[in-house]
Amino acid sequence: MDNILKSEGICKSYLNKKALRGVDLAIMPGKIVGLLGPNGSGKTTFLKIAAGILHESSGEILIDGQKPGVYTKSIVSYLPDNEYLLKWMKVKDAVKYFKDFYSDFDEIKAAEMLKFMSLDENSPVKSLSKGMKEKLKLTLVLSRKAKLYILDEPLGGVDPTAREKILNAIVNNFSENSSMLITTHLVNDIERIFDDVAFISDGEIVLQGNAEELRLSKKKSIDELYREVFQ
Amino acid sequence: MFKLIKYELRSTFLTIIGICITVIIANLFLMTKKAAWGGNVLVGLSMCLIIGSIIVIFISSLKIMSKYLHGEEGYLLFTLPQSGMSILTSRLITALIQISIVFFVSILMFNLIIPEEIDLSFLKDIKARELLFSIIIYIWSVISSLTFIYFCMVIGKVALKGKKLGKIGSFVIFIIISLAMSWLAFKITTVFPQTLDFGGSSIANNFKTANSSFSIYGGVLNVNIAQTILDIITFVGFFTATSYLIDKKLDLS
Repeated sequence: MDNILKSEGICKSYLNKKALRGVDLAIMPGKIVGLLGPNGSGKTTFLKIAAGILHESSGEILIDGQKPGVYTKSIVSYLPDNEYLLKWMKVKDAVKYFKDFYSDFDEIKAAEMLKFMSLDENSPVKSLSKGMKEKLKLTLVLSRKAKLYILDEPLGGVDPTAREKILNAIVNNFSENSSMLITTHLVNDIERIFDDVAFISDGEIVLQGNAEELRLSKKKSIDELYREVFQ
Repeated sequence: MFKLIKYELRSTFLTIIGICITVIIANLFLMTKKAAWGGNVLVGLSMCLIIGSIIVIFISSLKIMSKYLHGEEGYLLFTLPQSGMSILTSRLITALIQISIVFFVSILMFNLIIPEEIDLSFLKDIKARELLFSIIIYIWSVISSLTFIYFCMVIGKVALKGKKLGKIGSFVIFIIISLAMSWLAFKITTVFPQTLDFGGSSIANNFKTANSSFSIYGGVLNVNIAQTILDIITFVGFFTATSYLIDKKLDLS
């Protein structure tokens, strides 16, 4: 089976800093992959490159066999780690926006998720709390029938109850035909959903493999392994 | 692309309405001062309102692009399955619509401010050819100038990654290219002064059009041929380059 994402030697340099130093990563269809690392390790940079809003300095990344562009954006559902929804929007406007631009957007699923997340479609986006905004963004992103979901810190800044709800939403709405790449440093909360993990440090993948095999071979949870690697 | 235009117009709806209401109220206020201030002062102030409102809406159009390039809104726009060309075209069309609405309201209020009663008889005197020529020039001026400025903004962002550095860089690039283009236009119109007269559809030598490729005076519709060709080439160049940069080089911070 072909990889939905394949990166080879991805490097990203800024003026005086190397954010990525040759990242090799492959994601098979149907897998949930955790890209784990501390702040500044290069997780978000890699995700932005996969989402097509950052360009690699060298190396190659292919999504469904193609370089990031209009096609890959149509099959990638990206959750950025910022408040990117337009200020004038109400929740229902944001849903309409996604429906208008993404042919794979499922309005019925979105309505169900809004209900599950206890979000009122008439609420203005700017009046939502950080946790509620996170839930809305996740609703929009997961309501697409995308081939690849890229979630950047989906649990960032939300309370433990909301985290549980978000995790349940991710698991319940994940289709086996899709793949998911998630970054986080809240490993303990999320490790149960990972099929594969990759540890990234200072722009390099330092350890990767099947999550269950790593647990067995190292006799540690992914969270414990994470603490050991980044101590 | 039309969906992009729809959402962009929705985003700036309040700004446009706000500017139009301000222009209308300000002109109505001027009308109440007609007796005290006299016609000339009113005309002058109303013209200032036209210029002011167009500057405000023009800057607003630039700020929207700046937000996309430097702010978080860009994450929504640039992750859409839309090409750089679609994004740029929709931005230009939206800006043209916004500016036109404000321009129309301002001009309308300007024409209503002086006469004792509303007189639209001047419409009968307008020749279709001159009107069409003026509309084309207006659309061309807005689209070409915005394309040039957007190019400077995007190339500044691409070349200089920092937010502040990118904005300053864009301004410096804008000044340098503006000076270079003015110099080139001057040289070209000096060497090739031939103009095309749309009034009589004839080609003539005309040495008075060094500063602009278009002019309407004495009922004659003139364009400098060489400079018009240069303007079209530079527009296509800026448009293509900006689309390419958005697709292939733009990094969001």
